[in-house]
Amino acid sequence: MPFSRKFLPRRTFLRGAGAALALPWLDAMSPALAAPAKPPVRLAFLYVPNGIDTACWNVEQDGPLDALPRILQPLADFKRDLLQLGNLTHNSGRALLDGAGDHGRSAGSYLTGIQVKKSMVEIRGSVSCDQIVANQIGHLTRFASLELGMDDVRQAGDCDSGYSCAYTNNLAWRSETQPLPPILDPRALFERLFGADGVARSPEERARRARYRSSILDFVRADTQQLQATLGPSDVRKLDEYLSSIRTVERQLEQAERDNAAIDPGMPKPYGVPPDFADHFRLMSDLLTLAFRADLTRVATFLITREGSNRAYREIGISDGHHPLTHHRNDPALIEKVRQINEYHTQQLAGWLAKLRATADGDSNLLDSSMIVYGSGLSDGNHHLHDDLPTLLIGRGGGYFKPGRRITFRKETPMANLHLTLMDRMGVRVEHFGDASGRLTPASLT
Amino acid sequence: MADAQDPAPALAAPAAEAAPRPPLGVALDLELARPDALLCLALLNGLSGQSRARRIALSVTRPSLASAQLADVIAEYYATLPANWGYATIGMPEAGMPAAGMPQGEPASPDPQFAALLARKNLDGAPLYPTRVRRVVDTADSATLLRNLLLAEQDGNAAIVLAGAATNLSRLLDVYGAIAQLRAKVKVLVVAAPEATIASDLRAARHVFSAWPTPIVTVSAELGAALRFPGKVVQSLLAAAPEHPVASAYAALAQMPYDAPTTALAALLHAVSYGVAAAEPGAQEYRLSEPGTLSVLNDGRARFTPGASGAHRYLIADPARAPALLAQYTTLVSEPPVPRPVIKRKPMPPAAVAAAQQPAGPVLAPKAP
Repeated sequence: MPFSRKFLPRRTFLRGAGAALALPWLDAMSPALAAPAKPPVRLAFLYVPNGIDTACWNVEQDGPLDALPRILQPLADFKRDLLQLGNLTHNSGRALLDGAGDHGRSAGSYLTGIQVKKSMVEIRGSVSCDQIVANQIGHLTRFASLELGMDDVRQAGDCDSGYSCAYTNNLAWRSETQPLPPILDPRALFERLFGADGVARSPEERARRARYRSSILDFVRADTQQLQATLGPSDVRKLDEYLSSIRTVERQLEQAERDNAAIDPGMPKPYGVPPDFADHFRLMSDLLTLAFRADLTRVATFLITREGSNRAYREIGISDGHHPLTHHRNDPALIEKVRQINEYHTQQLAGWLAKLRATADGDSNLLDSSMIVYGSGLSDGNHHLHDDLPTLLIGRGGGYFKPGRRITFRKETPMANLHLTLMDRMGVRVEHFGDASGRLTPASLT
Repeated sequence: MADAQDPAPALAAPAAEAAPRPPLGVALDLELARPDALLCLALLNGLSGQSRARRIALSVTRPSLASAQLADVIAEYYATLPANWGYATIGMPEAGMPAAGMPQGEPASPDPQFAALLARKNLDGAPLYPTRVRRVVDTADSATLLRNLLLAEQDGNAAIVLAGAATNLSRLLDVYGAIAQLRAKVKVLVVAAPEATIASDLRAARHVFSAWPTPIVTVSAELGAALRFPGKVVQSLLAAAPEHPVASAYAALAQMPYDAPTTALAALLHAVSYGVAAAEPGAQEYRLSEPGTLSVLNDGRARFTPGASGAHRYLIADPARAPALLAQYTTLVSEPPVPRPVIKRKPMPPAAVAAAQQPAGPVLAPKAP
């Protein structure tokens, strides 16, 4: 591809055999004499299941975040980037007249704001807020949205008291009947992001390719050298950093694949899925960072583990399942294990946030440009409560939000009010969404 | 009455009604500075004891933190939720509320009589009436609360009793999807003393009387004043239980003993018996007028225009029934709190208990995030 010294289009790719590498934001992408373009705002939802122990999650008083409760302590370096939102509620997650199945409903309603149909066969939800945004702005990026996960992706069967696994195992819904299953395998995600054909290959083929694979950077070497010759010193440095981070992810993937071949995790795992939770999270989140950095997408969902997950966290010495632990019946030993799991999750989150903050994005960094919602569709997993949902809004949304505080809204404030507010910030104006009663008061957030 | 059009779909699909129909769910939207509204809460407890009704929502009609606190105290006294299962959230109008994130001050309408009551201490110096409503954010916007709670009711098995300004209900009509829900869930709205409702918030009253999607029955202040609840009954309640929150609040409103109108009591009793067969309890307590339409005029007066297509009616008292009614009110208001419900949960399977309680397993190569 010939590169001009004058102006580099935003959607420039480094191409090579079977590869198409998008670029991060470079100074050369701003027309000369033009005001620097503002980086786009990115939106991501990260979901953890089975509620979060609110006694160790909720900051006691509204206002600036000072002493953080235990589960938030891993995020201490990001105090100024966090908005803890209190009292947001998903009424649609409650039983209403549908009986048992709080896990199925809580995940199904999380981004849709509606009560999903109780069925194992005839699934019915609604277009999720991330997909409403993706439908509106998805044409601006290579991928309208990305759906990431780290757990079970079964789309059929009973995952909670008559609710299809389609409800517990997906966050994003393209239509009333079409959830978007998350990608679990970091290798598959890598190839989706950087493969030119965009076609997911079979695990066997990918394994065969991996054995003989050179780095994707080798494939695009010629384009890279040609581009570097046209860039200023600052852009050369940015490009080097970006390519290095891709190489780092590649190495992690290769290590994961070696580990996966050597370790039996005790359950079926896709080829490239690391057996270690933290490794898996790091790879998936690093790839999401790359996708945001190269503006491959501006919208993502990340189902860290599926709702109702029974995953054991042997990485931290917890061999019993997460879900049964949350039904602790106030046994202090079991509550302690739940807290350890909650804390472990925020430790992983902190690792990702550090990378976002360290990643330049225009005049700022990726964390400032993003709106990241981290939380759960249940508050008290023991009683299956759907009010006061644990919710963090992280980042500044491109300078819109003023984080570093806790804000408590009135009880029963619909979570969908937050979704409407976030959609507004993404430039997508929707009058009605789910069970929203309005928008969160802008003055409280900005 | 104009049948308001609402293009919004119902938020929840109609559920199969295989479950047994529980007693009528009643949402109370009350001005607690009215003694008949206070007594209404005690009456609903009595009706719950007879399995004729249950409280599904309680909201106050003015933005008053003290009023919401009192409502919380009474709601807990007559608890409808199991212990350790959260508590009944109290609704309060959105209007006049400080926004979230703003300084949390006292909303517009203080109630000094209730504030003094709530400040009382017991012998240990602890609050006599502990409340979990400490700030505005501990209450819910009434419109959202009502919408949410009504969604959990079977179709046609709910009623709303309003004794105070129609601010909350007017706002409820503006919530997306709420009109369809009201039409499905609520069999009747009963307004106790519409004169006061109109005087308190003219605009909201006009909105509700013109756009409400279910039948409305009004109970005039005159009807309530004609049959007064004996203050000595409240005194006897206080004598038996000095901390009785309804009786204490009643006593805080005026010099005791005084007899209060029974307007809100009639409204509640009628809501519970609305539409029941003639042989059922409560069916003969009051008579209904012919249908018509109640219009709220610009000067705040109300005009009732008879017409077969109207969805409004008003309650007519039979003087011959007064002694029996009064006896019924007295008995039901004096009932002790119905026992708090208990949720029986399935025990965890022994294997799951054993698995959950085993010592932590080996740590697999802990790694820094």
